[in-house]
Amino acid sequence: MGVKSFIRKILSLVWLSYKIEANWTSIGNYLAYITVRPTFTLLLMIFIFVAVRGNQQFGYFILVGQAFYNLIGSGIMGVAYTLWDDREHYRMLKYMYIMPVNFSIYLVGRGLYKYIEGILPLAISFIIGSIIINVPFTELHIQWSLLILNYLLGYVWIVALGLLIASLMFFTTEYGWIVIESLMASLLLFGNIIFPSDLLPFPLNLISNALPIKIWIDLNRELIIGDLNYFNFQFVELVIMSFSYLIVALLIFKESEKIARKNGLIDIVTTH
Amino acid sequence: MIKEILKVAYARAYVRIKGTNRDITHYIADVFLPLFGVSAILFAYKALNAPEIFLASAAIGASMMAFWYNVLWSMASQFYWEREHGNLTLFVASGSPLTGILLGMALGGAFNMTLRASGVLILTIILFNIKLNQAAILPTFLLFILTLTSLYSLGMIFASSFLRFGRSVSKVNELLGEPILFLSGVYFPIGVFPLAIQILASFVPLALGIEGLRELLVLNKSMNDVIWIYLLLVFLTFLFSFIAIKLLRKMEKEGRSKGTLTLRWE
Repeated sequence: MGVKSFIRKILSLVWLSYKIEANWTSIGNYLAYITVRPTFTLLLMIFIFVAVRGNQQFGYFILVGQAFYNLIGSGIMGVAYTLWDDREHYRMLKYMYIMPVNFSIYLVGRGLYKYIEGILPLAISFIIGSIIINVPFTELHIQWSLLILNYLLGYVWIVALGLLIASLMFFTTEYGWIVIESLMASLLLFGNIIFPSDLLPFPLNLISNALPIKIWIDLNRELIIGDLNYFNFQFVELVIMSFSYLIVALLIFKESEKIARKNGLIDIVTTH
Repeated sequence: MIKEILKVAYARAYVRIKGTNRDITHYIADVFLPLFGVSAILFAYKALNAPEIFLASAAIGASMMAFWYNVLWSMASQFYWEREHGNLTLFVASGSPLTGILLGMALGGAFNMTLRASGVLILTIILFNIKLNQAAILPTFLLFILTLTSLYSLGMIFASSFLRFGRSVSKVNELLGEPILFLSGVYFPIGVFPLAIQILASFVPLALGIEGLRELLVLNKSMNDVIWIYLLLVFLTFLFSFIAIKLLRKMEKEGRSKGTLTLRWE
């Protein structure tokens, strides 16, 4: 498969996702709708800091952590939820499956839309949060090129986590939801999101160290405030970790797909 | 008529309780999953060196969150889903009063969520060594019941009015989720809000309930100190129930004449 053809397929899938997600209302309403939830989730966390009147550094820690956590949720759901939605809700999975597109690429493309869509609520909630905790915008020296690189790198491990859940979704629907919720909840606890994960007692801190999210979120914090302006060892570590996760996830997904196909589970509808 | 409503409510509540609790893995998931989130919040408070009362308040608020989600997803949108699955037609054709079905949904949902919220709260108390005022058990219980009656009455209003919506009902639910949790101050005291927002929050049963529970269990206040919360919750229960019954009758009448009670795939 050539690069051009690959990009064309991905763009088509992103466009398809947009059409599916946004066709129920006008574009203005849709943009407002996708922004409300992440913004209020961020406010819920920011007001923990406001209630205690903590130091501003910690407010910034929560602000960036929660704003990007929403983006992670969007990306993971985009990949994993598509399988459920196409099969159980729209009942289109069998048609998608016979398309001349690798099934994992199909999920990656569909999920990418949600990851891109997440930028708007991220930006809006970040601005609102910054105003509430008084982060002066003049003090932010955003390293755009590295931040964009980190954003793209983030999708690698987010896809990996999404594919791992999707692998499970082949075999279950009811418990698949529990796994999605568990993953998102555990990322909030272990992901260095609203408190430094070093505070976790042993051996819970080891889980945090094994997750790419910890480095990824820290890099975002440093790149937005401008404390980091070069490609350092943290990036190398993140690249290795993210691609390792992706390779393992793809292998597991392929194997699960094979088993599901053999057992006739690809288009099974359980109406859960 | 009241006897009939209660019989239908019992039947509907039975299905809801039996259906939700027949698989223990769901109960385990419903108790342990929120624990991850609550733990993260409590660790954040610890990182901020917040006084113990903030941790206790957040533990109470977080355990009450499940009720709000239950009201949205298992009350508000329930009639919509019943219609999609074809059950609403059967309910109406059976002659069972819809108010009884709504009441049963509320009772069953409240019971299920109480089992889960208690589990979350007990585990949080054990894990984070949280101290609550044990002497306030009785007023707390009364306040908790009033919070549930007003909250589920609000859910009954939603259930009646959500019949109007098509498939956008899930979007409406999503939009109502976090803003109300924020307004209710699930993780922080609503005293941090400006006065106007605090007044607005006092019409939200969840906000009133959580605030009352905090005052009794964390700040060691007496029932007399928070009597206004009890009175407001009683008032809201009557008001919401009245509106819900009126709305339900209107929707049923409209649905019958316009044929929308059986309309699917909108």
